[in-house]
Amino acid sequence: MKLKIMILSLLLILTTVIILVFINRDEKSRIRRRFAKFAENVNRETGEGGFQLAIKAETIKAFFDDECDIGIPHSSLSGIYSPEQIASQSVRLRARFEFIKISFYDFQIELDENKKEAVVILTARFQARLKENRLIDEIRELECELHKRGNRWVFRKFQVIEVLEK
Amino acid sequence: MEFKQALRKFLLPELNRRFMIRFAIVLVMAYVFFAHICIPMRIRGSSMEPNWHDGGFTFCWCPRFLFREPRIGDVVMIRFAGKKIMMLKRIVATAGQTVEFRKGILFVDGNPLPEPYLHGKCDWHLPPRTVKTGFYYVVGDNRDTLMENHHFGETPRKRIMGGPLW
Repeated sequence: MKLKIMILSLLLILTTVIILVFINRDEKSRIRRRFAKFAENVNRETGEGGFQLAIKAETIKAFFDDECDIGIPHSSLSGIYSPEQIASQSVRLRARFEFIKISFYDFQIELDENKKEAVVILTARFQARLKENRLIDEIRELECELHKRGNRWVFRKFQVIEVLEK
Repeated sequence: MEFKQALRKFLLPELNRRFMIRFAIVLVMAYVFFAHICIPMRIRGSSMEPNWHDGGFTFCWCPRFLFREPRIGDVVMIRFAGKKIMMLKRIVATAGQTVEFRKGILFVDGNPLPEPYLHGKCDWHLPPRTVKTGFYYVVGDNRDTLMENHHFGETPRKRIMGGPLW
């Protein structure tokens, strides 16, 4: 009896692993990984040097489409940007922070029929410490549009969803 | 002796097939109940003080508005980001009604709204605005803060997930 249960449990674990490996190969998983990679490049460790910052700013360009619509309610940062503009803005913004950590979760991904366009609704958590030692810990829901360019997903739109409108 | 045996059997059950099935059913039901029907929530922030305290604990009772629509005075849980982050607010106006603050007093359709749940006074001033169809106007109970620092406004019905259990 015990042997039977053990064999059944092993089979269950094996099936789960196979399913997980299969799932990881699909486009949705690629999109999730793309967000994780993007977060890695936005994050800033305490004491990170100028050289690393420059490399990260250069890498960030590859995450965006030729034009990316960034929408933040009641913010002057909203607008349509080119990857170069985003890279230079990121350098300027990152210089104000001692430490930055961004994390994405609760993904709801919708792909079009051809799997070339995607709309992603997700939760973003932004934790940071300003140079003047003030801590920031904000959570927002975002709606993002991505477009598949070659083999890579690039961001076309970032919109912060306004839950309450005064 | 029989009681001891029964207690022993209850605390240290035999790991047979029947037990495994029962255990699996309990796990699934607990997951469904606590993830979708009665979601545990920790309160962070003082927006609903002194009626709901910072650091407090409650459950989001999702069936609250299953058989009736939210009304003025109801405290609701609004989905802020993902499924786990919600805002606790009170409904002060429904679709089509006009809301405004005059010297800290809330006026709905031009008449002052009795708010016995308020404990402090405020000096908020907000020009009149009409609540859109399918939306509810929500405000927190703690109005001791500056109006600019308080999250309030109209929110779509679909974001109202339920109400606090207590």
